[in-house]
Amino acid sequence: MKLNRFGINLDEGIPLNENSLEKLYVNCFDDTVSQITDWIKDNETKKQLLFGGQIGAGKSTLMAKIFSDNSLKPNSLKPDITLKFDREGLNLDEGDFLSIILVEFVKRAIGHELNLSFSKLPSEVFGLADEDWQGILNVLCSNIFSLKALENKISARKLITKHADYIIEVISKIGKILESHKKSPLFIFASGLDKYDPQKHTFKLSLGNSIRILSKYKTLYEVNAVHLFLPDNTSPFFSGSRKIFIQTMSSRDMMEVLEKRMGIYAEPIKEELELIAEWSGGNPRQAIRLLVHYQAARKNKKLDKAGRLAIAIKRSTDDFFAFARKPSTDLIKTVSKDHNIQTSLFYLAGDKETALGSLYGNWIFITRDSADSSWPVIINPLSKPFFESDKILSEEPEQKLLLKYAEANEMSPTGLSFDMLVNDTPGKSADELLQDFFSMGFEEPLPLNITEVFEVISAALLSKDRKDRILIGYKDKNILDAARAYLFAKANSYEYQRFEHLVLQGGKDKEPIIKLEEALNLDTDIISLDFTGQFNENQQEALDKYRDNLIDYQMLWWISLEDLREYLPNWVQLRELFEVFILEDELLVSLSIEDIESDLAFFEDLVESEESAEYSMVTNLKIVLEYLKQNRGNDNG
Amino acid sequence: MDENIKNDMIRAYLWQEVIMLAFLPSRGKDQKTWLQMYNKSINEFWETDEYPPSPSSHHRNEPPITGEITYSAIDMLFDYTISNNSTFAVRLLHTSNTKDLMWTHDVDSRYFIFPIQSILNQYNKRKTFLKEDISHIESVLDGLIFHPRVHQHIESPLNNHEIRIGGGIDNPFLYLFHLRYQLCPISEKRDNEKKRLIELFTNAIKNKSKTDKSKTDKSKITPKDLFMRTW
Repeated sequence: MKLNRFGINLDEGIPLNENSLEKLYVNCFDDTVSQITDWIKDNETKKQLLFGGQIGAGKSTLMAKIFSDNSLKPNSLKPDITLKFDREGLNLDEGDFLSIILVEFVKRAIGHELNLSFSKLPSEVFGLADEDWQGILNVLCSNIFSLKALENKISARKLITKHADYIIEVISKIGKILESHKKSPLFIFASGLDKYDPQKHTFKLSLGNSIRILSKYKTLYEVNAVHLFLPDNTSPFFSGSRKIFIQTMSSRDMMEVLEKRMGIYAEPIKEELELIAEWSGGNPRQAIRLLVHYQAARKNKKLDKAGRLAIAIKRSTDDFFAFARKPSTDLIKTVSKDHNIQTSLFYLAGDKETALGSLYGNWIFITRDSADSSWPVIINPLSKPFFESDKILSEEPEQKLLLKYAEANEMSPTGLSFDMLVNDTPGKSADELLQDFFSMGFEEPLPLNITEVFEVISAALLSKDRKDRILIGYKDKNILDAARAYLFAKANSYEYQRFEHLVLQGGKDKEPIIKLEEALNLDTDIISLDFTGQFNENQQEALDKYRDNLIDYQMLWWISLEDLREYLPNWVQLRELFEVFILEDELLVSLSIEDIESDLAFFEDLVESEESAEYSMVTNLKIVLEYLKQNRGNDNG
Repeated sequence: MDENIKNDMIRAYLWQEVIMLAFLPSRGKDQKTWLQMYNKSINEFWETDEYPPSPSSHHRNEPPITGEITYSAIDMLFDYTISNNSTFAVRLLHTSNTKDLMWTHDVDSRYFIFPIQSILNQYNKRKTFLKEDISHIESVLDGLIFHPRVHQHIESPLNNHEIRIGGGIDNPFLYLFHLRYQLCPISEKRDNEKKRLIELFTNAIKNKSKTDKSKTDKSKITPKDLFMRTW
């Protein structure tokens, strides 16, 4: 992420790294930080630590902050070994996870020139020379991307699955050698386990052995809040593990987060930032997403002040909850009434509408850690409209604030700019307008035309420095080529951005993750993927867990609306890093031949070579123009 | 010659020189390139994380060129229509709740303005005065860009931010350029930009005098240099 020193710094809520921590981090989890730091510093303990929080709560950022703390001694808090369980899953089977551990253990042993002659694993399993441990690394995590290297990696992982018991023994022995060399407990950070739904096969079966291996070491597991509630008889984690929960942020801290993101430009919109903080429910990623959409809405000249906030709320809801699996209304009613939830509720086995599912999907937020069995909880402000279409608007605090704001700023029927409100009778009060807005059917995402999609994503799409991910659901396949060409053209407004468009096929005998890896290795700026075929559940889950691999890429995914309805409920993690749009099935309404011709008239003069933004702009605009002329012709004819 | 008059004459020729060096792109491709670079530079200079839409023209080789600079971080936008180097309009709009026009800066070349250019050319002492002390460039750039003598203050939504919109600027490119500077709320960037521009124009004028390329385009400051990111 390129950082502005004084101005605005937005992204889609990806974890802060060492560069951005200093500028954007807000010290608000001091107690949590000191608990984790004390545990890390305790060289006597071999007890594991489960560090858990909900999606977007700031777990990865907090860990980055702790590991970058050099106040005592450089790198003194850094783990000896970091395992990234959300980065390497090709099939999400046991071989994937054991290979992650094996690779990192062997890497560290080689790094310290330790003697691994106790085993002939390289020859016995991988067909290498007896002592060729480096060869194992070369196969399992090759620096070269090629079809051959990928095939070798897959074969090697299959061998690991086949010889799992033996591999586990070898890892255990290497672990002992590493500990003996270090002369203190080996500190392992197992990141990315938070991405695994405990109700799914992968967590229950494929990850079990890996977690059990790590329970022999001083391991810090990064988990989702739901993992903290697993009953001992179903949890793979050691029952005596210490548990630390990252709570939601206070409105004051959230304001500081938002103000830091807006830099010098925070001042004029303090009131709006306060509203965004309230609507975030204390979840920083949700707050940043709301802010991203609010900033995009400010560019829309048709919206009034309250309309901008309302649109930001609706778009954030679409991103996180469109087509998602909704918890039962009874559960929400109970939570809403009691403001707390009993641990026993999380233990209930059964369908996906349980408390565990609501917690995993961020429908509810646990606000504080609890020493007993009762946990303070709120309903996510963004998910409330899903359950209260017939309720009076001003009952919820964040809705009350929005109403007050709308009244103070004279909200008008035209200032909300939804199709459903366009024909509204004039003279409606802000209360009535917002009432209409919140009962408009939040479960259905708002369709946008291609120029509106572009307006929302333009800050990201036009900049080579931003790496955002956009998911577009479409109804009419016939407009796709022109719609894509329009975005590719606009992406080249100011900088030369190369793009690659590929088909990602799902279904039986297809390997979409391998194809996706190929795409990520292309030398290009924007990766556009057309999803075809029917992705099975395992392929959908593999993509969900692949989320963090996509952080460094600018991506456009095109998925038919029908398929998107099926995939999104299973992409609880993935959708956190995407903006979700539903494309209207009409291009002629939003694009005019005259506008495209004006753009062409401006850019045609500027083309000097084929490898240029101007050439790319002109070439793609011509595709759009051709489409518009043909279709207008058809209309006329 | 009286010292004060002499200094004024130096400044007058420098004034003319600055405009010729950077704010008189030739019609067609040069103007388009200038505006394209201008639009691109806005995002970096203001640190808004927002690109304006690219400019467009109604006909490939004919004016006008139109464009719009969105500045949603302070709920403002301005759009421009440039017919030629002396006929243009820039509309400034407040977009906080509705799209309210603040005012239009309209320059209509059919009407008379004090003909500084004609007089300087007639006086024909450009070379003489530009050989003199060109440290006056700072005060010239103040008058053109940083602090125009005739200006309007508009209320800034940001604390301690001074905006001075020049009232007498009759060159479209200079007008847009000074808006870029005036509407930047980051004082450190404004200061750095001021230093950079003083240096850029001082060097360009010195080089031009040395090589005497006064009649060729090669002496001009390219948009790339004018909008160079140095902060």
